[in-house]
Amino acid sequence: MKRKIWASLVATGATLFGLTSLAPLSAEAQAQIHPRFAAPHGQLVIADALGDPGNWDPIATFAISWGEIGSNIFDGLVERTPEMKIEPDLATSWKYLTPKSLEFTLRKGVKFQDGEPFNATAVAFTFNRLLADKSSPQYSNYTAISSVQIINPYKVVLHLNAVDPVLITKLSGYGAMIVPPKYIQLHGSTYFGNHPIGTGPFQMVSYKKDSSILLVANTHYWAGPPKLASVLVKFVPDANTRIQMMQTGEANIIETIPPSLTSEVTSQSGYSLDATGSPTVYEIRLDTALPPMNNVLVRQAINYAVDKNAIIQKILNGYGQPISTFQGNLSFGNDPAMSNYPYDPKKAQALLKEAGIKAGTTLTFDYDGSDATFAEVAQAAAEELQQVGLNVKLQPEDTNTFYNTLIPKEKAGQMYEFAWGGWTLDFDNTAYLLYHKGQFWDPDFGNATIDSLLSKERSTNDQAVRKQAFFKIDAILHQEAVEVPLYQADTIWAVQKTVKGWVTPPDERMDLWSVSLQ
Amino acid sequence: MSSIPETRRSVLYTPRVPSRFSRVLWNLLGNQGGLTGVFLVTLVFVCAIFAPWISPHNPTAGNILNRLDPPAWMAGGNPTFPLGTDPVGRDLLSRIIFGSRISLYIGLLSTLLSVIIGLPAGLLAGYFAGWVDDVIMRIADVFFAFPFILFAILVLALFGPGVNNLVLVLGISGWAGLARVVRSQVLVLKELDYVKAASTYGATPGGVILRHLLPNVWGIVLVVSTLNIGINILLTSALSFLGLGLDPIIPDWGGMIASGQLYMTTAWWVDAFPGIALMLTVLGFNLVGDWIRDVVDPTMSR
Amino acid sequence: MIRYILRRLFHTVFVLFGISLIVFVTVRLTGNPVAAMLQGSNPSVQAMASMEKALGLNQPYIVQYWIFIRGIVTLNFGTSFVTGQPVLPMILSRLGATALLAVGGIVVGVLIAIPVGIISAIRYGTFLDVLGRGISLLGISFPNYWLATMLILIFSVDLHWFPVAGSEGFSSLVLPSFTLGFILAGILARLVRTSMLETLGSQYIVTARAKGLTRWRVIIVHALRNALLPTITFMGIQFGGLLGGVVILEEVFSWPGIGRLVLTAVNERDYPVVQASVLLLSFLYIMVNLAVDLSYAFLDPRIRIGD
Repeated sequence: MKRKIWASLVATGATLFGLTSLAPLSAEAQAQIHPRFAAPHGQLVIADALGDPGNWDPIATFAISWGEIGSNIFDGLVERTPEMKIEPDLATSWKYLTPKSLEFTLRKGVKFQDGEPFNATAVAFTFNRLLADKSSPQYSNYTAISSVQIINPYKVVLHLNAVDPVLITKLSGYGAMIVPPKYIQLHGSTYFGNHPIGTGPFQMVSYKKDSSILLVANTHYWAGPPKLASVLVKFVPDANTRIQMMQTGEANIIETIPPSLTSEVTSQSGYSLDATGSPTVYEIRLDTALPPMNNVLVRQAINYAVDKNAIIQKILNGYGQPISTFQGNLSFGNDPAMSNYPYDPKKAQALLKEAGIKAGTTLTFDYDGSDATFAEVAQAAAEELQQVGLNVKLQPEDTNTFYNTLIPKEKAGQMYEFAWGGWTLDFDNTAYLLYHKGQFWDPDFGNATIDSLLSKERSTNDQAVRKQAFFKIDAILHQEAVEVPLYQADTIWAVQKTVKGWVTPPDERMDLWSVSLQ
Repeated sequence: MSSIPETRRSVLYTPRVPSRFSRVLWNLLGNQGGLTGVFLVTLVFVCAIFAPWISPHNPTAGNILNRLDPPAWMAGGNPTFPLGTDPVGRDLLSRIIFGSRISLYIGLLSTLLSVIIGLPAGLLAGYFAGWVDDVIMRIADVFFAFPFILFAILVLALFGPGVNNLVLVLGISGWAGLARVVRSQVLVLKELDYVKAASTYGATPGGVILRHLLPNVWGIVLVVSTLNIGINILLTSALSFLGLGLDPIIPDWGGMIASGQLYMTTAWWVDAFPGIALMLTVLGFNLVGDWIRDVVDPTMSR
Repeated sequence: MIRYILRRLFHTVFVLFGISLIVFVTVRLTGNPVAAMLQGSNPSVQAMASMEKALGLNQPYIVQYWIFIRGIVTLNFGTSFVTGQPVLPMILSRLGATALLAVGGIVVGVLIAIPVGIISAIRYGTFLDVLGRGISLLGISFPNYWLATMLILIFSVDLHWFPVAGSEGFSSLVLPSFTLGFILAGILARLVRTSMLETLGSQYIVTARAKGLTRWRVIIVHALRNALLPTITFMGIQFGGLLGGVVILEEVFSWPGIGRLVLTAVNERDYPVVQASVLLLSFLYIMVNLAVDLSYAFLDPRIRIGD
């Protein structure tokens, strides 16, 4: 009797757990995509990983979750192509009249989605509104603009109070996207945030917070109507769930596949993997103020001990690029001739011995607990450090606490994870905030040579001079081994084979206008 | 016995009264549920105590070249890793055996903390009623109403991650539920004739509580507590899932299940086996709790 | 009875006041939202200072608290730091979704737990009892996200009976409700069983049997009614917790509930949203439990409430 109960209970539990092993079989066996929950014809369904930004007003947010959809509802004066070139958008041409005044010639015949016309009034309204709202997270990006002058309905001049070489790039997105004056004056900003109107190829007709968005084609779009009839964006924060939506065919495009689940996509007929380099780079930062990290030999030893290639191949399944300094391959300031410390555990042990570090010394390694992939990277690195005699104590931290309290206050352990999305693709922003003494992200490291090199590259527009300065900075950073650059992450999407014209965006800004469904 | 006259004692049959211990033991041997429960709980404690001697490998050492090896009996399996390896190449069986330590520690201690706070609170609130009840229950309401996640983030952000802080979080967020259930039981018991009668013959409130109420709430306390042991271990798993867990190098079942979530369809053993270990542990504790209650409680119908 | 209700309502004000103070302090102890909000633009120290000023965070704490309390009275909970939208509509739109899920879960939970608990109790000690206990234990032995994913794999991916995620229509409510319900049933079935066992053996049941009532009548009318006491207590507790959001289930099923809102707001240190959510949820929770306490008197006339 006892055995019967025991057996039945264990069998039930084991069966339920064992069912998981059947799941991959059924996914492969299922070649047909079930029509039961399929979308109407001409509708693209996207499983979005980044979530609901909560407010569609361009000046209300800096989140990537806004940018990836917002760029289809609104247009800017200029746009940035996936190849990072600046092209005309709502402005047909522009020129600097003086270094501090920028004139734009505007496109004629463009209408907002509510019918009102696009003209200089709208441009002036947009920027005046932005510059009046000091609580906007976008505000600080455009402080170089002091006023907008309307010359005629299709010509404006932006008067600047400072030279800003990056300004034109910044006009391609976010806070500088043009908004409809009459609509906002009629309905107010709160309503506008939930029912956005722009000049873009898609109009938001239904918005269910935290659930989904329905975008419908704007047939009067100035560049011609989009090929899709509508787009349904569903917010699906869980990676497993997104994969399952692929397996049932409920979504045509799946955002952000974790590297460990890429095999699910390749085994699934009807979908293909689309991986592209993202601007996000990952590293282990070493706190040079805490012993033994103040010893350059120890820092170099750690660099030799961590096998970055194995991590990329095994943990990331190959979906990552090696880096030599804390920037991606496309970044201006990256020295392609320089390579990272090779994997050499014997050398690491020799250096540790020379530094007088006893075997079994414990180091603390803090990281962002919500990043499941990096948790594995951290454990792999910890194992490799264990092999050269260092004992690592991993501490997963709450994301916000980690980035905003622990790191700036030097309480993040002797080693800590650091991730950075360098969207400007210029090393200046990263280098200044991370290596210049006294910056928010650099509580303790200081190097006089680097500081003077940084001032040099910031004060000139001569790209050749800047490049040389950056290469010198790269060399010092490498020699000083202030960090362990790990990899540049790939961004991985799954796309159904019936989707045409799709380009996986390296900066997450989806371009839906040219996409069509077969 | 002493009132019976000496001369008659030899005539009367004096049964040998077995000691309480052997009575309990006989009961256990006849009760399948209890026996299973004791067996499972003993197994878990054996794993925890003798882990270094019975596990085949070091649970914290691994090599990512062995990442996600399947169990030994499957294709691609390696006999040195009987249940397979985890995403960073460590032996799963060893981690499960060692994982019993942390999981037991967290489960038992946090539940104990909840009982230490919640049981007296519930007894006092139920028995004294009036303003005592109001104050205690309103404080309990504050604990209920406060979101667990916010509380967890607060404690972990202020005091750092770690096993003891986790015990604190779980124990403190659990006392209010126990207090409420105890209180509801006391409210019923309080109205029973023999409890009411107690105060008439001069029993102090403390006496009533200790001698009449406490023995009768043990049942529900045991049932709820043994449930809480499992729930608390599962909550650590939930916290790990949300990124608020423990050092992932040190094995704990909750964290192992969370880290295996991504591999449910590709490497199912990573969270299946820790999950089975957890399930058997929870089952064991609950069966034992039920059996203890059955033995102690004389009013139960059979 | 009326005096009791009035007294409880009076206390509610105090409790809410206490909670408002606690959440105000707590959320500020967990850190500063400004660096997180501006993180995408890699901010300078000046940018962060000016943002703090714009959000009113550089004012003395007393002033900030006063603004918060004043807002509660006027039902104006401010605007979210992150989205700039008014807070109250944000919360209300999510509450409906979570309430739906909570109700679904409780319905499933009760439908499973009560029969299982009753059968376990009346067939005490037999195989059925242990099977019932085993089933209910299964409910609480698996982490909820694991159970959720398993159910999706079986019923969505393999069988195509329900959609994977989202909140459109009844069919998307089924899997989340069942996941939640199975877990609730795990706990509830045991409470039902225990209470029923204790009541079945008690004196007045024996008396009822002696009076000649049929067995089933005894069970349903008397024992079950007493077993409902801890059941209702439990449901009251859980409903409050459910209102707080079964965060992980909402995340796995992409259910737009209040749990996810609070979790995101806490992660982003969106003070107004966190404060308002906690306050509102607390208020709802207190009301639900007041109803539970009042129902005690209704269910068991022996219990006197509030004298």
